[in-house]
Amino acid sequence: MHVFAVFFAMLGAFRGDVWTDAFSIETIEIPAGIDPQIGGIAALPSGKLAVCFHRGEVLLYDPATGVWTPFAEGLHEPLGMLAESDSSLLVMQRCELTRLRDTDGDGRADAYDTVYDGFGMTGNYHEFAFGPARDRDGNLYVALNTASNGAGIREEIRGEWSDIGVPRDKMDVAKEWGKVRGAAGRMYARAKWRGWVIKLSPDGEQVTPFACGFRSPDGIGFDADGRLLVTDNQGDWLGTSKVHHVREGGFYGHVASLIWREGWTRNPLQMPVAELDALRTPAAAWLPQGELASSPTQPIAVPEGVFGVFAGQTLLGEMNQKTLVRFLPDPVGDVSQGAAIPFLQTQLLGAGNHRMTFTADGSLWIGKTHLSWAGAEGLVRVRLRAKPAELFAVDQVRVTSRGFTLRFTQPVDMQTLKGLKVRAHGYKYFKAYGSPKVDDRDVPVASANLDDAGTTLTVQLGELREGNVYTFSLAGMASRTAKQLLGDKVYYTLQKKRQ
Amino acid sequence: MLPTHLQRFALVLSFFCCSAANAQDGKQGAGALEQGELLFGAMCAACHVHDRMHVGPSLVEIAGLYGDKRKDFLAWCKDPQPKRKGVIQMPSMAALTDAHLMSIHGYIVASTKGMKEVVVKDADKFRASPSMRKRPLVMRLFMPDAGPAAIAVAVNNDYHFCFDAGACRLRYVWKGDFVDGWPVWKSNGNGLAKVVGEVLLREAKSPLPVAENAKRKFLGYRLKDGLPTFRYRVGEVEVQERITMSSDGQALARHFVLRGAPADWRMMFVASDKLDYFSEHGLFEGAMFTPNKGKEAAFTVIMEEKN
Repeated sequence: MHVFAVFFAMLGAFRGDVWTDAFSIETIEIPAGIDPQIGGIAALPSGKLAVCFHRGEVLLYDPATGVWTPFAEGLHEPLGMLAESDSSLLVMQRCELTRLRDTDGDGRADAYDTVYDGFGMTGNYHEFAFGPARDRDGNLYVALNTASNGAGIREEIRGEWSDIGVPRDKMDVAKEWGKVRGAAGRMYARAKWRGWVIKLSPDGEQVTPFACGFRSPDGIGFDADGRLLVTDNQGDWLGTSKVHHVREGGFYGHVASLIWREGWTRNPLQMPVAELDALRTPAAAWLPQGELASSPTQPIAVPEGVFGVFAGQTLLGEMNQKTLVRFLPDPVGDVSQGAAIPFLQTQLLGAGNHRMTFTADGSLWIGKTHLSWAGAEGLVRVRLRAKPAELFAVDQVRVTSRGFTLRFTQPVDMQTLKGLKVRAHGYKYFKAYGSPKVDDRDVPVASANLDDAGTTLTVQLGELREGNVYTFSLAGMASRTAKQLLGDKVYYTLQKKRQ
Repeated sequence: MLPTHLQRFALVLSFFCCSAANAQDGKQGAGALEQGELLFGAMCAACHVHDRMHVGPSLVEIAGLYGDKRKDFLAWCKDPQPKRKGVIQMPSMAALTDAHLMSIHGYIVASTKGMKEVVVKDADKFRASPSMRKRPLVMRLFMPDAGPAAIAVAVNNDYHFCFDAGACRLRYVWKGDFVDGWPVWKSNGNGLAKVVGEVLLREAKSPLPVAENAKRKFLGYRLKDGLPTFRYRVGEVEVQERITMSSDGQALARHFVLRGAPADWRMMFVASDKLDYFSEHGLFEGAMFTPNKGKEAAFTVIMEEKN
């Protein structure tokens, strides 16, 4: 970092920044006595919010009055919620998907009905359960975390056990666990459907194991075009955190869950990596660890009419870094890929950004958590304060055969283009925990030209390398009306070039 | 706590001030420290903070342990061992180069200079909060001597029980101050809740006359007066089970409603040395319970403490 950069960073800390100029970020007080780690948040038709907390309470918040009222309690680490009506919520607990209903109209849930609990639990602490996401036809999707070899399993488990791997009696925390942990895999999936996304029919009766290869998929949601997006967290088999466009039958890279494929008999940890690599669908976006995101969470589509030029785009939450991530897809053929860009990257937002929902008044509500990792607590409300027409941002990134086009929402001031820099890197696919950047290098810019309107920048780079992240540094770039760019780094994950 | 912008700013400035001196011995220039900070943020900050125990030990403590032991630091990062009781084992950082790890080491040492460890009190600050002290209370969390889909129920201030939604059966009943969930909350589920009080009865298997391997399906529960009526299916039989205080408030009452059960079903309610069973709805012969005619599909057994 240069001394000047430090100086400007300091100025930024005192002056506010492009994000707080464009958006207001307000902290909502949580009632005393509630552990304010938020596992789920849902907007109700009435305009109220339903929020579920670390210790199992569900409270309703009325933004009009600022009043919180209890709705339910005693849920087991709820980590996702959807509203069906003002009186019916779907909540994903560690142990089951549950429908909470107020059937007698007293404002509190009295029916806690199990919708789906057909997945295994070993009692391992890392077996979280996430979701549900709902598609246009009303089908529900939940995502199941693998277990961590930070601990073994409990004596009593729920559901089916797979014998592929270390013998079960040795994996009991109370027995020989210490001796076998290395062979168990950093994250393991010996109880059924761990590491899978499961699809449920609207009534919950039909269960479809939908896709596998997930490690810690703490984010599952649909974009505005109906793509199912799932985020996953850096670790073994994940060089960095990432987001996937998930399709039925896919395998998304973390190997432990393969053992639950129909007819599967081999221990993935003993298979050649090249063979596993050939099975997997690569990420739609890698999120460089520590730079952009370290622990991504829920994907959410920005509704029409909200947040100006960002309407219809996808945001991802992020636990560790003080930012959200905006994802701009650029599919080539049937390969999903695209650009990830910081969003609301400001001190005022803080870390721990876990669950999000929009309300009809155009507010984005963000529930925070840490779950004993890095993060934060509480609820924030984000509202657009700038005029929608003034927002200056990249709103489309497309790969070409030898470069990229970046489209801006406002004409770009040509003079501010000078700082454009491009780097590229890849990641290793292996069982280690995280990967360093591979072939991290400057990419010379052959040419960078704006079109006549000044809104589309065509960047020629030369030969492109598939399987790399191309990082565009756009620091200092401004519009012709001297607006600073909202999100000045663009991380494009290139899986397939456009011919 | 992560360093604030301003702390970071001060830190970066101090690197610049001393970088010339450091550059001469060729060990940690400002570039390496900056790289160390970036790598720390990327690889370590999820679990380690500067001045207190988080998921792993504080940087202050790590600097104390490894400040002048670079080789030991490298060895530990590449091959961490289980070390502290109740603390998750660190993942191996073998994917990083020695130079990367040394830059992280440099950052840890430089950024903790003059900093002191803040001792974090191991106490549950929500133990007495209204949502934890509500009675009755249904609370799902990891319980001892039960499957992972356990449900703890406080019937009132004194009597409590654990129902297992996986096995679809009562596991045990106790008297005392419900549960201490702190071992679960503080470890993110890596611990089990503690039963506070004295266990009065454990049930080794379902009292219903069904095969051990009969298919069980948990259907959820309905709350009435704050107490749950559990609904589950065992084989073809749909069961509702509810535990309340008895009408005189002196004992526990266990209510069953059975749908689809054969009329000649007999149940096994095994008493303990602390709890007896009796019922006005049927006949006990030892542990064997035969409902009276007309009570086969809905009966109550009383669980009373022995004097």
